[in-house]
Amino acid sequence: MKVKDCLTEKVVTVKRSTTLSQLIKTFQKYNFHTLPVVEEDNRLVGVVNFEDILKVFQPYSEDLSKMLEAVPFLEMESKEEDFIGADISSEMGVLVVVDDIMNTHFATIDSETDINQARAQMKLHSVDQLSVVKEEKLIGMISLFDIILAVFRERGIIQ
Amino acid sequence: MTILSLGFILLGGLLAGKLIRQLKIPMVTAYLILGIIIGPAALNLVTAGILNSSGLISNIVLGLIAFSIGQNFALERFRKIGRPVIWMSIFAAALPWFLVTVVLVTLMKQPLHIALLFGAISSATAPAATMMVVREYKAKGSFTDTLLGIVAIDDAWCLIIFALSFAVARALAVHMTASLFIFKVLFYSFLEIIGACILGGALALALSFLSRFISSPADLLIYVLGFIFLNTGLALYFNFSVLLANMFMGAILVNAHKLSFKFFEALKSIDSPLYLLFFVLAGANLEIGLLKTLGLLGLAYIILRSLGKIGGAYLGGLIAQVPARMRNYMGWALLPQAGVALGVALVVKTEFPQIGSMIFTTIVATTVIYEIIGPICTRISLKKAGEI
Repeated sequence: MKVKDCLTEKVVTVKRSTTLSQLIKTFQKYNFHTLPVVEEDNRLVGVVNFEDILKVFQPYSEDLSKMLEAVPFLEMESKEEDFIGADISSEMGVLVVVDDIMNTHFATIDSETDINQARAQMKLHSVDQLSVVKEEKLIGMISLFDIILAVFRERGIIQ
Repeated sequence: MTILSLGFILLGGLLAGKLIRQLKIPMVTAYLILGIIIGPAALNLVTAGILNSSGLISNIVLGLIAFSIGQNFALERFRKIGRPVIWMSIFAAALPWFLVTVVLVTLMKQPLHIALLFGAISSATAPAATMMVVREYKAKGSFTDTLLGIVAIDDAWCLIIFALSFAVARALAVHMTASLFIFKVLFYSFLEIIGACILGGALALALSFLSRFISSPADLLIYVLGFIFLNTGLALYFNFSVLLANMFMGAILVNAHKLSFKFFEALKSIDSPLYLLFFVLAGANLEIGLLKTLGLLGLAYIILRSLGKIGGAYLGGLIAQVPARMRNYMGWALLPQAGVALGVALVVKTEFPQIGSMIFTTIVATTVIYEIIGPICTRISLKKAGEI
């Protein structure tokens, strides 16, 4: 069985320009962990997880934070900013956009890939869903649950 | 006994880290002081077996550090660093190296290879100590951003400067009495550096290409660690620079593989206990008897390194045309010295048995001093710059 046989084609996406408050509402509405970020032509340019929202509490830019992550021994000190008691202005909801917090390095899977391979990729990257692409364009998402459904359906356990 | 000792080191380190956090002192310092206390200099709880493996542990840890730092050479990220960070970090690393080396050779009559090694070690800083001050006082602004950019990149310059100096120092020590002395020193240094780059680059491409066969996080960790050991081992075997080979492997990998972050992240699950062990062992390796004879050298090192950091950041700031408050105070904020300096000093101790203990002990002692006065200087400079 291939990824294209069990993917979910109807996918909720966001744009680079989606504001933080729109993003939070989308997460709240659909209860997804990860949302793909696409351009107007449906080209996949990033993914955003709900944990990425915490990046707005980072006092430094995303590039600087990434560079500091590579520095040895910094990890030994406290990693996460104290966001619960943090001071943040309400304007952040419109000032911060998805482009500021999304991940541009992320795993994807081709629609022609075997689902065993898709499952292996999920395990390798410690995720439970992957964006499915064809020629860089997003054509759907495949989650662990999609694979479980497909296998159970194939065995006749569910219709 | 060795395994029991290891248990004490890990649990003692964890406890020391928790206790010392209340005192706002970086973990690295806590581990180092624990090492001094439980080492032969004081309680003598560390077995000879573990002490003798310090060279092995430091090579492994430095391999991991260099590989990790290599990812900061991702081209898309490097381009965004900005001129102030680039120039100030380069000068703040190079001027201490130059000043310490030249003054130790001329005024203090030290052999060139010893002066070179001291100079190279002096270029390192302590990102963890700097970050701790920035977080504690919630510093914000352009000065803080530039400072953090500098500490993020300057250990990379330090490793490069150290690798070059180490290659020359080793060639100097080996070929001191040989004919065609200068030619041999240059040739073997060049070989050590170029060889490391070729080795690191080739293994990065192999790591990237073969990673398609890896399908689980556990295999990924084994795979990456295996490549780092392979790289380190081959570099040691061929007398190439271990630091450059691993940094180059990280740098090529991050640019060659779209999902390279997974390789670096895999290592994060195991590096903490290794770092802890490494710093405690660094403290335990301190030969306290040597301290008495090193007063003048240590003092000169502290003064010259400080002048180099302050002057270097100032010069770099002039070139990058940063505001006066930034170039005047940036060097002060870069004074803490810790992890990478200790790491490379431990390598020196292993590689140069006759002079290594003297260099290593000086660096441990000055690190303790710098880790106490350094964060205070960082705080003052952030205050002077108006960001706390």
